[in-house]
Amino acid sequence: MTGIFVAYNQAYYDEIILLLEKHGTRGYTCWTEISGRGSDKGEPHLGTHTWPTFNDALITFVEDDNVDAIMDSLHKLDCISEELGLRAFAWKIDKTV
Amino acid sequence: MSLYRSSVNHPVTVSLVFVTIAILGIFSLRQLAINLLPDMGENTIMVMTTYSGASAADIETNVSKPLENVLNSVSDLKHITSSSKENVSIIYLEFNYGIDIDKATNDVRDKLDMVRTDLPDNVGNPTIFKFSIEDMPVMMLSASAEESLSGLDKILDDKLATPLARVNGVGTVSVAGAPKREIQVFVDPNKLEAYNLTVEAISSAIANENRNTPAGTIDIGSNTYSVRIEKEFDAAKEMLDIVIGSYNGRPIYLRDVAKVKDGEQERLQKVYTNGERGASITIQKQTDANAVQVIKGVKKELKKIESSLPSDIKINIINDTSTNIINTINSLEETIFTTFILVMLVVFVFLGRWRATIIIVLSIPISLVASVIYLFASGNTLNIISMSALSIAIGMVVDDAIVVLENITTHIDRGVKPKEAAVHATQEVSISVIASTLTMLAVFLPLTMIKGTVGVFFNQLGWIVSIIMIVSTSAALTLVPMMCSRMLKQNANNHSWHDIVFRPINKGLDAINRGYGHLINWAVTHRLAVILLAIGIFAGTLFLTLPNLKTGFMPTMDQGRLSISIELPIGTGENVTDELAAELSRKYMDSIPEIEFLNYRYGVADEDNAFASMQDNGTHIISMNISVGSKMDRTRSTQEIAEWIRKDLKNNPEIKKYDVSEGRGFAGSSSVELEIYGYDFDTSDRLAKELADMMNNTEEFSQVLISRDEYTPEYHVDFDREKLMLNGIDLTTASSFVRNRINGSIMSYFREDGDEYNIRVRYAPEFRTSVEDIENIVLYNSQGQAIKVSEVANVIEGATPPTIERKDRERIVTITGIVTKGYALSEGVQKAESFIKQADIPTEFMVKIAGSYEDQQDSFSDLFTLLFLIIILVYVVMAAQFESLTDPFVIMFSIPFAITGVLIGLTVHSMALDIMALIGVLILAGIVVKNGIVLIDYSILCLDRGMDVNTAIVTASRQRLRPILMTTLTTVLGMIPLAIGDGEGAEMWNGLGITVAWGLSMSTLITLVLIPTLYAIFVSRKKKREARKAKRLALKQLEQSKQL
Repeated sequence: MTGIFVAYNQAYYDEIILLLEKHGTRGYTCWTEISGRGSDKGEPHLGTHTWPTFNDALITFVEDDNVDAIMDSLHKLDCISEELGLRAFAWKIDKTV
Repeated sequence: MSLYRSSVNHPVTVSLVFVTIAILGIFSLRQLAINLLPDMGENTIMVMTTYSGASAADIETNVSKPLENVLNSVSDLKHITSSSKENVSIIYLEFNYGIDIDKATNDVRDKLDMVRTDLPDNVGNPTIFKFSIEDMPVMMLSASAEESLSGLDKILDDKLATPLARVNGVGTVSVAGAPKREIQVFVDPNKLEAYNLTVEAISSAIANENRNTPAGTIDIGSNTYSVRIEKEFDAAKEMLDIVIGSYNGRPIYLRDVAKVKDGEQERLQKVYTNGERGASITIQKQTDANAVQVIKGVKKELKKIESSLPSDIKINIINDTSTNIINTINSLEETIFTTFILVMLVVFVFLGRWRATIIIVLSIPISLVASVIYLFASGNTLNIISMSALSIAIGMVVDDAIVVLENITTHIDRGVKPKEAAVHATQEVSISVIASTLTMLAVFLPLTMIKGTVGVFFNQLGWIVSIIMIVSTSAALTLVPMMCSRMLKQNANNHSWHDIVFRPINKGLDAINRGYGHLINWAVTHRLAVILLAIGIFAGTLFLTLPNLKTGFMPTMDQGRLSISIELPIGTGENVTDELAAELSRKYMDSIPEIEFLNYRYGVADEDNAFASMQDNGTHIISMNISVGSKMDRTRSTQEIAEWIRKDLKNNPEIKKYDVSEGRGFAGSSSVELEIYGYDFDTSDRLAKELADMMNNTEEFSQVLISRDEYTPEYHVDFDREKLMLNGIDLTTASSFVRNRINGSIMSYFREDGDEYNIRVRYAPEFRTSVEDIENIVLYNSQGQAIKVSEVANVIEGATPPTIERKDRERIVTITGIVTKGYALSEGVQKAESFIKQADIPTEFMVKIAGSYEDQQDSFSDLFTLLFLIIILVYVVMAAQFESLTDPFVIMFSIPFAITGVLIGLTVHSMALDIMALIGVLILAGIVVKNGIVLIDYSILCLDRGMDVNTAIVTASRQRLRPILMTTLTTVLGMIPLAIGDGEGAEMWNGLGITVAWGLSMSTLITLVLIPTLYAIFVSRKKKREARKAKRLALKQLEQSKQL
């Protein structure tokens, strides 16, 4: 199992859910309207007057052989409209109950 | 879920809510009545008190004064005026507009009850009347006839007046000038004397012969019959054969001493239309009825009536107030439509997308009809004020939608799906959209709270614009994102024609943007120069325009009709008046080609004609009504025609006094009234004459009128009581003898077809022409002895003093000067002031300027207070939005430049600053700050994003230029149809359009440079302060650490 954490501009929400479903992933946990800022570039998403956009974040746990496909699709999505901002991180899961 | 997401997710609900608003609005629009002005309500109460036999001066001291003293304490009273004339005192109580007149009437009634016991015993009960401008006649018809002229009165009464009075909303229908049939018995006094007969004897003999008597019933066999004596005259000629007495045993017939004439009453008011004799019919509406609807009903009824009238009777409409109202409202409708098209074009040119244009423009009709629902629900009408409000609002309602749509497009361009973009982009700008609506509400909601005259006018404006703003903001936050999510596309494929049209436009706009960027770059680096230049422009405009600024009250509206009152010297015979009236009528018909109808009347009004008898009437007074048709069909304005007539009348030596009016009051000509307060009659007369002469000799006044009349000449028959007593005759008998011979004795009526006509017996006209004729009247005492009037009385020439007028409990004479076309009210006032200085005014006298000037001063002071309040409210709203005191302060600098624009605009169009222009200034206070808000808001954003001051300001200015230009252009172009309109009634809103268009343009041009520069200064100083503070803090910390 691999955990994937996606932080993205809230406008991506529908597309990301759709993308996960396409890859056969049903489960996820999502936080909406949260703030955040990229490490090197891109606009911060703080929901303030200066930076009015918000981020959403989503965590999902998928089978290992599905990870690359999902990460690729996420990357492609990010490339279409880079200005919006989308980052994904994957790491191994040791145990689940 | 947020409001924006719900709207995007519920397109059906959102669409249906707005469709419902639209349907309700259209329904209300169809039901709404139209009128010229908002309902003014009643504001005057008249108290009429009679005191038989008292002279003007007695009435003044014993009736008017005590009543005034007690009525003066009625609340909300503006002025109390009275006129005391022989036998009657009339007190007018003028209240502020918008008060509850019923409460005031009750108040007046209570006060009258209180004072009742203090009045002399014979004083009649005071009668209370309420009235307002609404009681003016709404329609005037003329009737002309050939063969039916003699029966015109009866025909009009039965077939016209009665059915018209039944029309819904019609108050009274009065017929004037129709010849009234009367049977006149003209006796020859010499023959009477020879036969020892009297007028009374003849009158009673005629009455005795003219009888139908029921004589009871009689049984004949098994039947019962009633017995009647029917000897009433069937024809007037029958009278000639009755026996009225005997002389030397021979019967004397009426034909021996008198002539019988079946003709018309003497001394009736005579009415002519376009030179032909006829009658005039005046229609007044019920106070709360709508003029346009009443007239519509009357016209419908007239069509039915016309077919039932004899063919030679022609009915013409001389004056129809509804035409002007309908035309005015139509011309405003056109203005609104043009504005709509212009705004749509601006939006299309700037956005270059038809879908976006539709989304934005859709908010216009929705918000407009929503305000119509308010008009309908609150019982208001579509009128000049409500329609101009709609027109003003069109350019502003799109602003919010533009801001929202622009942000949604930015998001879509970044790659967001339209649905998501619509939600998030709307959320981002919602606060600033609501804040800018709040600034507009800060301007318009206070308008709904004004009281008094100005309040009546502008409450509606306030409500309508506020409602439109609220609805348009709601649409911008719900309907616009919903439609954007459905209609806007990512990567819209543009057609080639689109490129051909919009590439040059975009290039042009980009070039402007670059140029503006350079300008701001220069400005933020040359701050002092910019500020000095701005101060220079402001001071320069004030210096150049302020000394020549004229002020006025209300624009004069061309209503297409004139009313003229011409007074000849008192006592002028009817024949002289008749000749002059006919001559003037012919002359005007020939030399004023614009005339459609000219109707005039002269003579004493019939007592049962309420409207005519309320107006001045008499054998020496000619009242003329001229209708010159719609403003669009002629080159001269009514004002110019009025002035031409005034000049003509001024040069006519026969005329003592004239008043040519193209309408008074709110939309009428402006007047300067000089009120001379003081007790002494002679001094006030002298003063009035002196001032009036001075005013008459200047160009500023085209007509000057003194309110006080002259003494009316009359003959007094002064009976000597002792001589009367010696001759065995009492005063009452003697006076009735004189009255019966001159005025006539009516003791019997001639009946025909169910109508009664007076049989009047009196001296033939040729025996009523001189003082000797009065002196030769023969009185008979109870012994039958003849005594001539000259034996017991002196007939002397006397004069009745004029009506005593008072205002606010002091005697007053008013001089009314009508300001000539081309001169402003303020110029008239200046002249009048200089005359007052020149005049020799005794210390116990006071001269005050009133009239339009007083109304102007009252309204201006109300509006300036309001302007002050509005500026504070706007500041508060902005301070709350920015959470700062300095930022809104910088933005407020747009207001002085709006005033610069207004002053330049008024000077260029050579217009006076009047109420409409001042309302424009109030509106400007809310609009001009919007640009500043947008600029500063974005500058703050750029600064927060880490840019340095100058870059932030230049970037923000360049970024926001396009939306600022777009919203400004929609508003300015939206005002242009108002400013340059020349349709009927356009004079009323031209000033408003001109002020807003000029004020907003100038303010935008200047503030686009000045506000960023000023803001740069403030921010730099703030940054320096902060840097110094940080440095001090750092030094302090350094020292502290060293000490440690």
